[in-house]
Amino acid sequence: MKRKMMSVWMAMVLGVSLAGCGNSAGTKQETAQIEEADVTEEETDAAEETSGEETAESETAGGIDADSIKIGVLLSTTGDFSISETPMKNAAEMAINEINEAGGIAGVPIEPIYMDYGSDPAMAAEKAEELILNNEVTAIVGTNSSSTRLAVEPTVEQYDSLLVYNTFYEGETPSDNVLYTNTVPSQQVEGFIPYIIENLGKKIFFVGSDYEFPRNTINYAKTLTESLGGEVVGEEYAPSGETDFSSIVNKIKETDPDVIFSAVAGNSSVYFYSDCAQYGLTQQDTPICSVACHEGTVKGIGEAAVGSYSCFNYFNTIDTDANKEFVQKYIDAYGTETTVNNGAESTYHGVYMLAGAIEAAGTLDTAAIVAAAAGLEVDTPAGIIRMDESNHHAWLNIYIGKVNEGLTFDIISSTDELVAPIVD
Amino acid sequence: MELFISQLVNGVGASARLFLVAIGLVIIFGMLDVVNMAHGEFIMLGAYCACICVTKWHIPFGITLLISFLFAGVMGVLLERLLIRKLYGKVAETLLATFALTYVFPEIIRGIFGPENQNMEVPIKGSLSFGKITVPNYNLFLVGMAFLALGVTMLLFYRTKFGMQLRAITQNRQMSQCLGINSGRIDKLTFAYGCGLGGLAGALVAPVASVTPDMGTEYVVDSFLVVILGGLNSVMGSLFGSVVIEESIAAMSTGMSLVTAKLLVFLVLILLIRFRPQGLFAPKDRR
Repeated sequence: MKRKMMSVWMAMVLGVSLAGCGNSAGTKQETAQIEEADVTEEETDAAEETSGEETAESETAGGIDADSIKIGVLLSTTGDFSISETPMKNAAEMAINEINEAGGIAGVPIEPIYMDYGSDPAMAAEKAEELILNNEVTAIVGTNSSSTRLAVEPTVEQYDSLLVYNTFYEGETPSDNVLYTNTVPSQQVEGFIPYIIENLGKKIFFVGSDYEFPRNTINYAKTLTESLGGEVVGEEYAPSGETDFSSIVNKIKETDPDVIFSAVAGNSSVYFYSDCAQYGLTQQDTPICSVACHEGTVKGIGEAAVGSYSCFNYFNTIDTDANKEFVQKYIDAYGTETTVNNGAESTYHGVYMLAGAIEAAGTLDTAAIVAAAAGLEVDTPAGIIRMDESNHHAWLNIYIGKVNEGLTFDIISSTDELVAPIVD
Repeated sequence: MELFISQLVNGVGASARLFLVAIGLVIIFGMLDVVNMAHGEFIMLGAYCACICVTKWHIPFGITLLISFLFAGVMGVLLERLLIRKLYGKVAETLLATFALTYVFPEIIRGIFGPENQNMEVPIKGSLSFGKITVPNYNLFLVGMAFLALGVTMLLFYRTKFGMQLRAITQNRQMSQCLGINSGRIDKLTFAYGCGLGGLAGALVAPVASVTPDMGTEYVVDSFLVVILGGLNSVMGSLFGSVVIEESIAAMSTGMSLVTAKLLVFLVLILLIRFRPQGLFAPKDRR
């Protein structure tokens, strides 16, 4: 009996680790990574020397003196991150192919190296090291969850390489070796809260998953709500990956808000929206306004999402020729099994931004590329965006979409000018 | 007060859902000593089966439930023949082998259907309202299905020849074999029945769940909690376990955040295991 019980506990632990791997912050992996990095320091020095020589050569030549520019694409198409990272990988591939078809970066073709890290942040750090040391990439495009980015960052910093990160995130402790091309909380919130208070109602209930991004976003949103004369009637968090929102829905009903502001992330959204519908909170009376529910999630939620709002730097239904062409090209190449969303579009414009920065820098040196990226304008399917002069983040257009009967977003509002990224 | 009652009423639906998800695991573990980490994958297979039957082939939901049960059951037979049969009696090995399957199954499904969510509308819409208390009709249906699953399982185990043979084997395998019971066949059917219940649970949660290749892990941890609380091989115990867990969370989340409520429930469970490691409703040890 004892042995049996032991095995149940072991099973539980395995199960928790399996379920938790997508959510845990990468602190442990980071430490492991640093230790590992110490061992390979000698190797690094050697690598740095060679790259130093190369840079010196290319600088004397006054242009990019290489047969190809190697770019690592670090995204998972296996494991539980693949739901968001497969479209991103496809979009990166699309951008790289387009750039190469148009003659490459200043005449030099991109040589992409695709790395699947199996949705395991620790593995991502190893793969990043492999890309930098073995493949000698100029930059890495990818990683998606914050846990992965945080696990990869020390490696990228250690070898003074460059990471282009294309997912909306909590906007904290940015790294000098990372360029961020999607939104931070301030951008979504500043695009969203004024619209909500003006058009949907002043009494707002805040719900989020219990981790960094939702908490930061909600803090930012509450401050803005109060300064605009709105009322914060409640605030609740659910464990990330939560599947039962009935008790939170009950609490929402108690306070009778005009609007629910949701930073419930990932698949939990599906449960949250469907519990709202099941327990009688309709989108007509109390619409959900989400900063995390995108085109793919809406497909998973189904009709319970109709009438709800979301706010991002991109929707696949933006009515411009550039965007229609982009979406059609994606569907022609990869079908409709995966959905174009803000992550995919940001990865696409991230690659273009990187190419522009390398071309402007005229060298493969990290510091020069980062410097060249400052102030760089990029023409994207979501309009022209611009990299900030100093903080490595992007100034973006912010759009608000409302889910229609066909489970796509009608764009109902967009900002007049680019919204500044405010980072701590 | 009304909020509190409303939470408790919600807890009933959640309990039913948890019980349905856990019962297959309890049976396989209790009767066969197999720690089936892949139980969540059978839930996932059942949910995919239901989504495809309903949205692609427009099969009525009732028949879909049966198809999902049978499909998961057949997959269970295959798994038992190919893998589990060789591991009976080695508890830790069954855990590791089935743990590997939690990687294999999702990747296969992802390969076939892609990484994104499948969607299925709730087949029984609407809700009952008493003042501020709302009970979705689908939750009532889930409660009914939970009792049905419990009733059928009890009948099967205590009122049929199969059940008698199964209980004989769990008490003394060698002696039962000497008495002419085909233990291999009983093992196979029991494993298939447990997996089938997993598939049925998957089909039942599919309309209100996020159906993705990785959904299995969401359920397997909670199911093991039920096993720990309810006792290792007690079907009735797992019903009580489900109710105790979900109602505690529901009741406590009235006055505090859901995160804190869950944390406290887990703490209490750890204490409980410290002082009653065999679970709340474990039968007396026979050996």
